Amino acid sequence: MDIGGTFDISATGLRAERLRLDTIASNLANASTTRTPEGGPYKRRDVVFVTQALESDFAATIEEMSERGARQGVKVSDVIEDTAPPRMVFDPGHPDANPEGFVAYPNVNPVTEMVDLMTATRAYEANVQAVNAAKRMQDAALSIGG
Amino acid sequence: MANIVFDPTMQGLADAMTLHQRRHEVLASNLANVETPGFKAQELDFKSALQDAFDTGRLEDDPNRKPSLVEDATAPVRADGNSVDLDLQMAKLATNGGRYVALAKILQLRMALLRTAIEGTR
Repeated sequence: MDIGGTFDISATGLRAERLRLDTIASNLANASTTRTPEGGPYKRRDVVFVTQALESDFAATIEEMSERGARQGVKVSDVIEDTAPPRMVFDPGHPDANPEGFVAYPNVNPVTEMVDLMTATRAYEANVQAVNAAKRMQDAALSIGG
Repeated sequence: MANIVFDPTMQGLADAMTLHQRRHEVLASNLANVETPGFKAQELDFKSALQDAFDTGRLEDDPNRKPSLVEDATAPVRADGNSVDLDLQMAKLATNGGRYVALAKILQLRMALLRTAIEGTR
């Protein structure tokens, strides 16, 4: 049993939220990308979060059978593409315009992305606070002897 | 026979600190999963173990009496099936950390008392 294990939980949260921020940044950066290596416009990406049981430490598992499942981290299981149709804009002069003169723009809505950005930032900060709290607890425990 | 260094109070304080650390792990898990669909907020239920101890009238050490991990039923469930309330969890985190620091401080003062007894007040 050590407080270092507590940091692992928050670390998984920080990592997952940062990957989510990366995804949002990609979406915003490519909000007007009409050409990709896969062909067609850029498709909005989203992350899928799943819980991740942190029970790898064998000794800890034996010692704390009654509290199994208490240490739940998080991980990004998948990065999925949004299947929503692209935004069609009439622009016959554009090199990627279809025969009817419409250009397929990415299905990225900047408002949605900004809301997601704020949520991800707040979730990240919450995990940082958990790390800080654990650090204060550790400092307090270390000051007992002296 | 109570040990002079590890008397029941010291042991109790140490146990309480361990409990608070466990609770911190649970709260940290909740925060890590604040955006995980379907995740239900967890909580360490110590109250029912204590109530049980009072009801049975046996307050002495019982290795089987442990806090149980339960779903936090008070929290509202969001549309994605997640029941982690960020504000509530942050408040719990702050309270839990504060109590832990207070327990450590009390333990520290008891240590200082012991030191005074050993060294005298020269």
